[in-house]
Amino acid sequence: MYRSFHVANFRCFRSLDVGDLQRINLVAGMNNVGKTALLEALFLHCGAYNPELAMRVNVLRGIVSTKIELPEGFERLWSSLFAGFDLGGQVELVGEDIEHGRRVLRLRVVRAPEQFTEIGQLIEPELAQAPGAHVSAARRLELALEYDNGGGQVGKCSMVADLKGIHLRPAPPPPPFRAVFLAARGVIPTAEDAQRFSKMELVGKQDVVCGALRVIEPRLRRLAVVVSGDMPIIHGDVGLNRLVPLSVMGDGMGRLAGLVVAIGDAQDGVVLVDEIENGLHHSILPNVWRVVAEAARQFNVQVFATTHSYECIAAAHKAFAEDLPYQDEFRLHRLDRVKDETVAVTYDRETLAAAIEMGWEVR
Amino acid sequence: MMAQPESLIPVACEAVLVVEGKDEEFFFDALLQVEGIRNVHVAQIGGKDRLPGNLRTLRNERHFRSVRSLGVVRDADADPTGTFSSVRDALQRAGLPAPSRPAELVAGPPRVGVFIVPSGSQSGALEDLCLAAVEDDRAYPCVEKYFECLEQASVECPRERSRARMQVFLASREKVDRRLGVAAQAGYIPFASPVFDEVKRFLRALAE
Repeated sequence: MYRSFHVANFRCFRSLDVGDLQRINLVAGMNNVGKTALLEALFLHCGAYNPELAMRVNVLRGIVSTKIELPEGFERLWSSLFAGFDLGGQVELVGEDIEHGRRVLRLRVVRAPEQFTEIGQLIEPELAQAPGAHVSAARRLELALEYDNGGGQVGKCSMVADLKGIHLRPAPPPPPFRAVFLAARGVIPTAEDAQRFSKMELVGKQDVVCGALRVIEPRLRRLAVVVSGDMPIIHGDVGLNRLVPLSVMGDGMGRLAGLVVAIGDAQDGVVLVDEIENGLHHSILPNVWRVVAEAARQFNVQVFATTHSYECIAAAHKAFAEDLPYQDEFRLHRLDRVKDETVAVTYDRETLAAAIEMGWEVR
Repeated sequence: MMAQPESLIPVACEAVLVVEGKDEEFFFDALLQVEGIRNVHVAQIGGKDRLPGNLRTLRNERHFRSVRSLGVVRDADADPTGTFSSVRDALQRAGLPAPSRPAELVAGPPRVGVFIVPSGSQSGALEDLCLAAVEDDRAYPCVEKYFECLEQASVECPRERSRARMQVFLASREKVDRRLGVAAQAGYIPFASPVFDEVKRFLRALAE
């Protein structure tokens, strides 16, 4: 479980420190302040050696197309990861957590031929043996990743984009723990949710999801995965003469199911949720937070979510303030832009209670 | 529908005066206006009991970073020294500079000062300061007579004698049913009185 997180030179952040992280962390702030970027930085850090996640966070943003054109396409591939689109910089992500200590992840782009030879063993053999090494910088770009796991071990892994496509060298080892990213945009990944639900069903945890969804649909009796065409979809039994796909029952059902199965899938890991309130009516938000908190505790998962909604923040505060043994497991972190820097301001239970009681803005 | 929250501190605000409640907010707004001080924003903190927790929250406000001077005004009540100490403790707990004496601003950022009403060493409240300012008013002897009359009639007087006296005094004005802050805005408090000199000095220092 993360206790603090430092981001440098990533996306819109020159430098950002977020402290006092708890089991449930809600991130607020103005538009373009970097709420989603903070989740992405955490996602990359959770993945440890895996540079492929750098592509995934771009895809989730809609930045990367499947077709990469040379040579400018190589530049565009990763430039948005670096503050100021400066490929000469180095991204540094530092997380302190209870179980793993201080772990550092660094990302940099390698373009100079002499630096390619430095990591010769990572490069495609035929390219490494090419005359002079030395594939033109314009024809190849490499995202090099260094990961210090806090135990003195520094591992390296690279993603190479060249004329043959994109390769990982070497294949990254598994991350220290699972992380699931639920994006705000795009189609609801029903098949992915169904797979996660199936995993929970395998270990007899399906009732956690069913119980959670009764917050929205009290008539729900059971859930089942039904394959429709080639696509597995979670269906629910609400007492009709047939099962109904969750997505047909409404956005809220899909959103909440996605949240709970993500938490179940990320056992002992991290779930990152962009715009958590999407699809959820404000009146059920306190119950949604209770469900999320209970699931997060049950599966030992840390949750980071972003929001623009004051109602969502107030609902989270209400849910946790009433949850006596666990009332300090929630923090609100607001990101503020101060000149060219981003600063995180953290509200604990006392300061948030005061703000909400007084009607003061916290977003 | 939930009421939309509001920012406690406006954008680019450089000086904030924290007061106990709405009435005090109106009062000090009126005093600042009379003094021509435009750059001090008065923020009420929801009562003296909430001061410790709410000062921490105030510090989290988005626009607090622009604040160069912070003043806190509190009624002395029965114990001016104890009240000043409790405000100091609250400031320190909020991670803010704490002055060693009332009415002085300690260096910041932000510079911080605490004004204990009616003055740093006297017990009492804002009403005592205002009563001292209206002692020369023609209606004031009538206020005293009213309470003497009550005593002679063995009517139990309110515990908050100063507040009661002020209410009776305000009942002598053209429009009644005003609390102290609203009365101040209506011009019923003679801010030209020298009894306000010390608090005016404090406000001017805050505005510098």
